[in-house]
Amino acid sequence: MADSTPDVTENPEAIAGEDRRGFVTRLMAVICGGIAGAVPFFSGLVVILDPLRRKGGGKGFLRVATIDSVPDDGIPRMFPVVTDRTDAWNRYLDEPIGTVFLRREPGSTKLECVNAKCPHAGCNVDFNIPDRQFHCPCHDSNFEANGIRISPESCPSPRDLDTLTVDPERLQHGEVWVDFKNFLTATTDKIENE
Amino acid sequence: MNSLLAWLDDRTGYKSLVNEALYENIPGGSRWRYVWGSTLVFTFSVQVITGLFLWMCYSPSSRSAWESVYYIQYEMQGGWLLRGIHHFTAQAMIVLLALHLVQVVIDGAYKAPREVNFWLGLILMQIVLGLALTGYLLPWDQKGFWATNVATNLMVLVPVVGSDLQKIVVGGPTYGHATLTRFFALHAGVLPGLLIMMLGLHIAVFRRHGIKAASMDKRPDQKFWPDQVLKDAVACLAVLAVILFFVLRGAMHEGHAGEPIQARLGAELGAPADPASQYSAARPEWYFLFLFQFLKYFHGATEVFGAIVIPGMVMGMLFVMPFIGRWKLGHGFNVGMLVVLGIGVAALTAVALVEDRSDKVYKDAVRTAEEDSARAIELAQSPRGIPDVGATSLLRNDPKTQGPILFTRHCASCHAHEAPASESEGNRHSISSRDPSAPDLYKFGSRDWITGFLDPAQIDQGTRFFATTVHKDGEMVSFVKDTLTDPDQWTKQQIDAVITALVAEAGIETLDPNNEQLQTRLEEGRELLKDAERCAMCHKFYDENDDAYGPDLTGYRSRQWTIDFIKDPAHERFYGDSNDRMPAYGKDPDNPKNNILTQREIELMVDWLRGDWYERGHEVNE
Repeated sequence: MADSTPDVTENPEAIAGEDRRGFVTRLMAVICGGIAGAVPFFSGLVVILDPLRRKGGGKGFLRVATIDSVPDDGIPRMFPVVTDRTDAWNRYLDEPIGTVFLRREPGSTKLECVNAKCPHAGCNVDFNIPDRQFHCPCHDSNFEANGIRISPESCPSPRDLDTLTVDPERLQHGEVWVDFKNFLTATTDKIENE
Repeated sequence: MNSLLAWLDDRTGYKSLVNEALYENIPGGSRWRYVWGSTLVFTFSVQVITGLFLWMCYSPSSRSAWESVYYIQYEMQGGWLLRGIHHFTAQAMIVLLALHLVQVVIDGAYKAPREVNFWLGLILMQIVLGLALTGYLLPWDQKGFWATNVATNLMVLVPVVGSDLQKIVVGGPTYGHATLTRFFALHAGVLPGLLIMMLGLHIAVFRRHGIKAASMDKRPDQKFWPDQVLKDAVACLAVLAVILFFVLRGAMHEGHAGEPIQARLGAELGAPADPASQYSAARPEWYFLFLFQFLKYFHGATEVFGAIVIPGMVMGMLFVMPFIGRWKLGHGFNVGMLVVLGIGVAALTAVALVEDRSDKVYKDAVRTAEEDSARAIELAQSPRGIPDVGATSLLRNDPKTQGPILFTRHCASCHAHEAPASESEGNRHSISSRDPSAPDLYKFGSRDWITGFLDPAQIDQGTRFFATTVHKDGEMVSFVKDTLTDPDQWTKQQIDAVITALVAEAGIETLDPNNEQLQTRLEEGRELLKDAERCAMCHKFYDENDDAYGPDLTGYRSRQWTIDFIKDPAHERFYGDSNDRMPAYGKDPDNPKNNILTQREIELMVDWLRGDWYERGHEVNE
């Protein structure tokens, strides 16, 4: 190895020329090597960022139940939201995509609907009938039957349960159609998870 | 031979490599307290070996992940052992990491000139925690699914890029195939690759500075090989023994009847992940419990402190330990900080465990989760196996699982299903009604139920039969109380014949075809049911009967009869105009979307009411 090292120590001009050439060589080495490495890396990066351009979002109004299945006793009842669902390369027909609670006050024809997903970390809440409270099994957030946090100052959830719109026109015909959406968790504001 | 090795050394220089690796000087000689680093390297090697084999059997997609893990655990020979070792070694690694960190800090081994190595160690710790988190999701069971969901949902809290970051990690807005492909690539490729790189640097830098001698007592120096290697090897064996103890521990206690032994050996496998289910037993693995508990104390907008800022600050404090250690009291401060941190983590973990232990809702949820898990395995092992739509459909199409859920949701405001506590059916099968106004449907259609119904002392008592419906004061009740009690009109034997004939119609209990007396009784009962002076005065039974206004007794309480009844109880075949409050659940066959329940939901509920579901060992029913 030592034998082949070029001897550049004799002539100062040669040293300067060697430095210039050396800089260009180093620069070119970095550029060539960098491109060679960057092309495969960025081609992968583009693919892995694909989910950013995909929109999940709401699927418009979906039929959830009939008003007969929601007795007017002020107790929220759980219903699955069923529609066609796409999971990457698979399409599933009539699959549950989420869960909602429907509730009707005594004597009322108005229907309240909340998404069962806890706005804190996304676990599904359950309604505890004896306490008349929603309870999240993960970090103990509690909500009133109408979805309002029981004590906002000590509740892990940053906001009340997410209300969803029930189509008033179809409700008059006894059918419950809900504009089903999921929202980002852990945020104070209700931001749709698209 | 020697000349061959000399040639090889000349071409490769392997001897100096081996010398460097084996004949490192250990000042003060080999010691047991130096084994911890080596046990960590050992556990990582175990994970690489078992992980590669698991990889050969695992399929990362939301339709095949649980299925392939089930296959490893329950069907492949020794699969439970391989998976068990991988599972418990992961936990051993966390424990050993903590011990290693504590030792390094107490010994002051983080101080100059070993700062860089200390930082490399902290990075390694992050990678191992990342491996633990990503590995938890891969079986795609309920527990891993929901616990990991919490972790990725909290990513939104990362400032500015939070929601984008979450999407990239999850592979879309919701969990699915892409989540598994990503987590698996991280778990089996990216993170182990990084870990090997960092571990290489960690060991290289460690060798550069040598071991931090433990104490001042002057024992002669020794070489790494063989004295320290022996101690390391013994320690690794001990670690392996502990791991195997946990893998095999389940063999010591007795399982449920019929349950395969693999359910108790090695790592557990919950029910397949179902995003639409109500899963209330979500907890992270025990070593993340303290973080889980910590999060409970942060409310609303302060969440970001609990999830990101404070854990980040703690990691930051660990990173600056080498600088703090330079001050006079710095080392003491560092040790103190670690002690406080340790107490904090232990206390939070303890509180989490104590809270869960006294939380009835959580304990019920855990029991339900265990039942679902056992049920999913039972169905996967049934002759039908796992269908091509995946294992999630096992529980979704199981009457035993869905029946109580559907009944509670749609029927329990009027009907109860008060089942006696029974180990095989679980606590979910006894459902009370808040306001029982209609019959209790437990075992309805059974001989016991029909006998009680035709018993004058029972028919209008309590809520088992007509409860508080208008039929409580109806003709059937007066018939049972007045006519059936008159021995001139109905002998005991005749009543029993009718009961037998109705039991045969329901088809829930089979009547012995070789029992001649029973068969005669059955024929007699059928005649009585058709008798225009008796039952057929009000009820139809096979023959045309224009006078019938009570419910049709043809196929009474059979599967089809009950399905049709639930679809439209006010149909002329059933209660007609005298139907009391019961809604029609599936009246419109042409527009299924207009019905309260789908055909499949009604079938699931009816099969459940009739006790008609797959049970291991009762394959005849299938």
